[in-house]
Amino acid sequence: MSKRGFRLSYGASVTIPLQLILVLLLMRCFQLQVLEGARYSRQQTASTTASDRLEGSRGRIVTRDGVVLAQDVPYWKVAIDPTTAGGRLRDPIAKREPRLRQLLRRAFAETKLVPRANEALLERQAIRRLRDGKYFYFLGTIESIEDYDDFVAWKAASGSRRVFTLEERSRREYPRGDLASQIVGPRGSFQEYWGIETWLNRSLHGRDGLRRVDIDGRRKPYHTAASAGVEARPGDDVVITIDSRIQRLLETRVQSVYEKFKARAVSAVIVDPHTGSILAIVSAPGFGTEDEWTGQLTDEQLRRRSAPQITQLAYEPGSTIKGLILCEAITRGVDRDMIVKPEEGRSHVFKLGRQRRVITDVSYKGPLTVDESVIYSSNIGMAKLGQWLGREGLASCLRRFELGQRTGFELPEEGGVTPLAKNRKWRPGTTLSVAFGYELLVTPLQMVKAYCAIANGGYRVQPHVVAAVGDSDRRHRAGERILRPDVVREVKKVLRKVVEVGLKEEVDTINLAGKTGTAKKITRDPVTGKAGYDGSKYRGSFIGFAPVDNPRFLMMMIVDEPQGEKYYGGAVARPAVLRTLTDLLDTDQGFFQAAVERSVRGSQSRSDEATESSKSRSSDAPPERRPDRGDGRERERVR
Amino acid sequence: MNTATTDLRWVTGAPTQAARLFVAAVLVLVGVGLVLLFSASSFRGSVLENDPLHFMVRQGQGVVLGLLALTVFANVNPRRWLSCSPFFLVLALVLLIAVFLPGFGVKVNGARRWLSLGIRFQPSELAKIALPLFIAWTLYRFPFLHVSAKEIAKPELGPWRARWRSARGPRFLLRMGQLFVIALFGGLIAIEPDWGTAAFVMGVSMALLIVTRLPWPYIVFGLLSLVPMGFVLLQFRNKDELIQRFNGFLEPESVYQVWQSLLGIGSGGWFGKGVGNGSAKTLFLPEEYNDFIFAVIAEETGFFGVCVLIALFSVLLQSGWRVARSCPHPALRLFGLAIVLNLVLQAAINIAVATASAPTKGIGLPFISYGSTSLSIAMAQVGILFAISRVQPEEVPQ
Repeated sequence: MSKRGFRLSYGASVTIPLQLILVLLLMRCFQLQVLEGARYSRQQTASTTASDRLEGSRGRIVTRDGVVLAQDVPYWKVAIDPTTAGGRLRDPIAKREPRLRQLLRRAFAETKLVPRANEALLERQAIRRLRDGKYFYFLGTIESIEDYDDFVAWKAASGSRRVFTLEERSRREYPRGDLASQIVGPRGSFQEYWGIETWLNRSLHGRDGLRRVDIDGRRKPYHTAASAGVEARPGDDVVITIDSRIQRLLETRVQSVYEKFKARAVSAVIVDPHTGSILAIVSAPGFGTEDEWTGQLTDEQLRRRSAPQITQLAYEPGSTIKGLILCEAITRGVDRDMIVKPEEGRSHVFKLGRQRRVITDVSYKGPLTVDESVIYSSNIGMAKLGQWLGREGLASCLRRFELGQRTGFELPEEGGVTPLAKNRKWRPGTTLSVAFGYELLVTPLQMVKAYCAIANGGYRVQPHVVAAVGDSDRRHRAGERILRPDVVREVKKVLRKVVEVGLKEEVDTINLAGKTGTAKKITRDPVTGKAGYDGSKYRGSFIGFAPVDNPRFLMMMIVDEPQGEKYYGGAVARPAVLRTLTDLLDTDQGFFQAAVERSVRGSQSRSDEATESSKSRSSDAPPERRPDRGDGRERERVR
Repeated sequence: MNTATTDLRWVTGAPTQAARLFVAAVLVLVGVGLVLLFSASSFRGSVLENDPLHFMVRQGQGVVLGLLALTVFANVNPRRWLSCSPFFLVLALVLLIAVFLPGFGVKVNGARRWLSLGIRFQPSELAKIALPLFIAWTLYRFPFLHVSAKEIAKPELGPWRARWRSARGPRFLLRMGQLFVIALFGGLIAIEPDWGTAAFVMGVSMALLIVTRLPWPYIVFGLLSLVPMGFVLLQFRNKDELIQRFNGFLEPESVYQVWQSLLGIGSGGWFGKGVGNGSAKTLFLPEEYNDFIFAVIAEETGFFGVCVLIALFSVLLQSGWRVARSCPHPALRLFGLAIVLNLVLQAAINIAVATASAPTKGIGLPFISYGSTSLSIAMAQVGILFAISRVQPEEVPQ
């Protein structure tokens, strides 16, 4: 140590404490990172990530012939980041403003961007957002995938790749307009009422996904987080048994009947009697377009119109039940040559204990056998047959055809009431009434189901409209046998005669069979408040199927309160049904040829699946039961 | 490179092992720091400047400049700086005053800390070097400051009592002069306002005085004088911000940047999220490329990385201290210690602030934080320390 020097003897008194401080800091980091790390980590994750809902696209609704009735179409929401559109964040706002303005004008002029408002307004708002330092402003939408590609290319070319953000969304579209809207579901804000859109919503909707995104300090997402969320799963496609061409045909027919008879309502359905698949179903007046009903109809009217009456109406079937009663009678071995109506005149007085009941026919056709009572629709004859069957026979008939019970249709349906219901009594007069279709409430669909059994050779079917949901086949097969083949054969003969007798239309009746029905409506007298049959209001109906031996189509039509002279089912419903069935048989070949061609053209796997049902239509039922159109099969079935 | 002095001759020799270790630690910090800075700044760079490399490139230029400064300063005899120290002191003083002149000073966030002379520059950075250099110089230039009672008692020095008495007046004046200069610098920096740097500069200078056995009455006087000084200085600045800075220390949740820093550090865990994968830097943490870069490092490399980082600074402190201690020149010894303190204490304060262990203070992490000027100055200091290590006593032939 020199004499001019000085000591640093306390040097360690500075460095050692500093070393200690470093150690303390290390311990502090240990506390933060290791001991309390989980807590900080949790809190940080909560603030630096956000969830983004991913919309699973909704499944399509496709007819059996491959026509898409409802589908989701994508569109893109376009947003701009006003803060960086005009240059770097560091640049003054005054410098960025004109560039933002210019970029917006270019975007509106050079791309297919659909602005969501007036362009000048959007421009002003974007400038305001820039001044507020907001990085997101929603500009409008891009409607098609081609426009999307163009826009992305434009973005890259104009050097604004990071300025615009595109977010994919989807909206529901109905390519065929109102076709089958009562089954698919009404449009607009009344969608919740009815239809496959509503009742198969869970399958159609699929599952929404969740995407975790990292957000930066401005709460702007910048990339997908490492902790991936849940993938969105697209909804299942629903294939329905409706055939678009038959549906279109039926819709026009029903509308013309509705207009011709100025009826209160007209409903019709066409089913495949072998499987119970509903090929077409419609009611008029329909739901129509939103413009038509906005402010015009009450909620209840909307509700009623949005669903086909075939499943929603509980009515007294009237004469159409006579075919079913005949089935029961033949099954029970009735002597069909028995004269059930020996009396002259149109009316007959039945004595039921101390009560007397007068039953009237429409016309007098002389003494009638059992068959003729059905053919000429004699109420007196059927009442006698009812008495022959007795309570037990009629009850057996109701149970056999499951009248008054829900059919198990996919969409909501009415049940109905029969005298067998727990809260109903079987009075002596009931035996008479039931035999010609009164004192019980059924839905048209139940009648269709019952006649399907006659048409298809005696098998019970379940009416259904859903053919497939996603990958799972939901078609129903023919069920248990409820009628003997010989009974069916005999009843078909009678039903064929029904069509032939009193035929005024120019149709080939060889292949047609059916039964008319007319029922008085029960109304409430507005003065007395008492309910009773109204002599002026009728519900005419007709159920027919063709060809008789191996029916391919079964059709039912109900005309509610037709106006004018003609109100009988035979007059209002029968012509339309027979003509439609004939048309269907004539053009049948064309229909399915076209359907097959469409399915070959359609390259999408989903539409293949949809059209498969139409291609393999003949194999709907188990082969041993389901007769083919081929002659060999025909022979086998008839035996 | 002999320098003409009155009584001692010096040569520059080969650097000691400690010096090599010191420089190696610095180079590791700079190299790794550049990578970590890229990770920390790329998000802000891409958002603000449309260029993730924006900060990285500028820091790279700073590294080149710093290496240049290191090389130059390592080859200049450090005794030159000693003899220039009054000039540096005056220069620093002038620049500190110039900060308040409208033409030169730049006001950022309400504080006049920067001079705009082509490049932005904080005169307080110069003061961090000039003031310790001046203190070392005065202690060396006026050796009677250090005459201890023990030394005075030595018989060959003559009548100790007379000598002691004769030195008492100038010694008192010089001591007070030193304290005054320290207070002057501290005050000027504090009214910029930059409380943290003021405390830092004053603290390092006082530490130098303490290790050279400043008698305790001076220390007490110095500390006591801080109180009225603080009251006067508070008039230049509203108190709320100061209170808030202390709040960040006491309740980290209430101060945004401190809380974000803690979230970042805490979420790092044992081994971190991996370099580049941090979340704090995505515009949550302000100054993530600068004063709070430690939080990003801790988040991305975890406790493991923090250990390495702190160990590097510990090595820096230990080897730097060994370099300084072994220097035969007393003033350079002191100056070397000042340099080590400058670097390591700054790192310690930075880490303490980021971990909410100290009141908030805007001070960078040496060698790593963004800023080419501060990096260059730090590297220049390293260069000086390296040069100090090369100062060897000349072997006098017998």
